[in-house]
Amino acid sequence: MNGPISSRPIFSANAGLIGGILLVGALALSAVLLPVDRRLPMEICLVLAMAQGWNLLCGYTGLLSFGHQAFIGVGAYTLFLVVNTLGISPFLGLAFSAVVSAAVAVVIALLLKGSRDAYFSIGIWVLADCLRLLVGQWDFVGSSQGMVLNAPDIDPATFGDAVFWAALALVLVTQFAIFGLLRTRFGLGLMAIRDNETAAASVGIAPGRSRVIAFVASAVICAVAGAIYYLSVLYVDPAGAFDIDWQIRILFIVIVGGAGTLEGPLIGTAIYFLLREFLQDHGGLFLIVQGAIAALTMLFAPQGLWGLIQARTGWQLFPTKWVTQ
Amino acid sequence: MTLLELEHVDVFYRDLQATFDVSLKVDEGETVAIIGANGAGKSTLLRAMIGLTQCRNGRIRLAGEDVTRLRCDLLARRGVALVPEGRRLFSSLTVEENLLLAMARARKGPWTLGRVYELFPAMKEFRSHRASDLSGGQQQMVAISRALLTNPRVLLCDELSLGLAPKVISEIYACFDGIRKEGVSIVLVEQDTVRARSASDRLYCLLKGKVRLAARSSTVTPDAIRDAYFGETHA
Repeated sequence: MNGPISSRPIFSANAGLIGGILLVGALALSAVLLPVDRRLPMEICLVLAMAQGWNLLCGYTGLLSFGHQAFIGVGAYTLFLVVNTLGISPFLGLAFSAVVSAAVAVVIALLLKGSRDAYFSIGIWVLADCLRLLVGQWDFVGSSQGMVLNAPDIDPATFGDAVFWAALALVLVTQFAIFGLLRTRFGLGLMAIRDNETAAASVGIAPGRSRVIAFVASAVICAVAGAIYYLSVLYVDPAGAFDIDWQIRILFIVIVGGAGTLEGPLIGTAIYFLLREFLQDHGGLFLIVQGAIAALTMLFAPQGLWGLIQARTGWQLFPTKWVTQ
Repeated sequence: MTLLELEHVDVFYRDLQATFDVSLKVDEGETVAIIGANGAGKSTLLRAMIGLTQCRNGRIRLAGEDVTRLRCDLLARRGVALVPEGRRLFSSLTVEENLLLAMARARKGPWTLGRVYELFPAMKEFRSHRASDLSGGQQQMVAISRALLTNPRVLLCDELSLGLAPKVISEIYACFDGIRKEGVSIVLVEQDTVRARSASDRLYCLLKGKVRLAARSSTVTPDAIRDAYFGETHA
C-alpha cells in the first residue's frame, strides 16, 4: 500500500456533500415545522426510505426485485404479532420486524439462489404473492380480515408525533447509512458486481455474499418502514400490506428519479407525492399521468431525471466517487 | 518449481465438452502460451484455471495444493488473476476505482498503484475517466493493472490482442518484461501464434479440446505449430 502515489482513497466533491446535507436537513426541517397534518410527511419519509432501500439493491447491485411488498407485509405483521402477544411497546416491536424480515430475506435469497434478471424479478414476485395468500389463510392473524393493534398504553395525543419521528429517523438513517456504505470498499464492490460479475469475482470479490448482504439490508429497510406505516394506522390486512402497489410506487420513484444514485429517489419521491396530491381528486388521471411520466422517462432519460441532471452538470450531492491524491 | 498444474482436465461448456484430458503445467516465473484455433477450448480452459467454470474430471493444483473445486473469488485471493477476454472493466466506475477495487482483496506483494502507473505511464492521464469512455488499448492497460494489483502468483491473459491495432498490441506486450521481473507466472491465451511464441517460454497448442503440441517456444518450428493448429499431418 505504499509507493510514489498514495493509495489511500479520498473523496472528491465533498462540497457537493455539504449541499446534500443541507438539502436533506432543509427537507427534514420543513417536515417538522410546516403546519400540516403529520401523516403526509410521515408517509413521504417512509416511502423515500423504502425507495432508497430498494435502490440499494436494484441501482447498486443490479437485482430488479418486483416483490419487496413481501417485506413491507412481513415487517408490519411481525410488529402486530409481537405487540399483541408479548404486550411490548410498538417501538420496541420494530426491532423484531427488522430481525424477522432479515430472516425471511435470507430464506428468499436461498430459494432464488442462482436466479438472475427476469427470473429473479418474477421469482420474488411469486414468493411475495405466496406470502400474501399464506397470511390471508392464517386465522391467528385474522386471515383476510386483518388484525388490529392491541396497545392500550398508546397515548392518542402524542402517538401521531411519535410515529412521525420514527419515520423521520428511519429515512435519515437510511439515507446516510447507505451513503456511508457505498463509500466503503464493500459499496464499491457492489457496483463492480453490477457492472461485471465475472470480473468482480476474478479480483476476489464474493458476488453471492455481497448480493445477499445488499438484499437483506434492503429488505430490513422496507420492513421497518412498512411496520411504522401500519403502526400509524393501527390496523393491518394482507391485501394492503402485501399489495404490489407498494412495489409499483417504489419502482416509479426510483426509475423516474434515477436508479443507482442517492439523489434520484429524493426527486422521484417529490414527483410522486406532488402528482398524487394534485391529482388525487381526479380519479384515474393520477395513474395515467404517472404511467406516462414513467414511460417518457424510460424513453428519453433512461438514467432517470437525476441522471440527466448529473450528465449535464456533473453535480453530486452524495459523492461516492473514489480518487487518490 | 511447478506453480499451476492441470491433470487430465475435462471442462464442459454447458453440455458441450470443451477440453479432453488436458494436462499442462506452469512453473514459477514462467510464461506459457496456449494457442489454438477458434473453439479449440483455450478460453474455457483459462476459465477453469480461475474457477469460473468447474472442471468435471481431473485436478487443478496451485503450488501443490488441490484447488479444483475452489470458487473464483477464493482462487483470486490465493494468487490467480485474470485479464478477461474483452477487458470486462467495471464500466460505470472510473479507472482508479477499478484499480482500487482490485486492491481490496489483494495479497501482499510488489504491485501498488505507483508501480502500475510506472508500468503504464499513460494511464495516469486518464485515471479519473470512466472506464466506458476509454479506447480499447487504454482499457487493456487498466485490465492488466487491475489483475496485477491483486498481486497474483499467476496472471492469466485471455486474448490480449483481440480488437486492438497492431501498434497498440506491441505496446501492451512490451509490459510483460516488467511483469516477469517480479517473478509472476503468465499464461497467455492467443490466436496470434507468432506473438504468442515470441512472448512465451513454452507453448501448448490445443486442437478440438486436446493438447496437440507441447514445446519450448524457442525451439518449436513454425511447421510444427501449423500442423498442430490445423490438425494436418504431413507424410
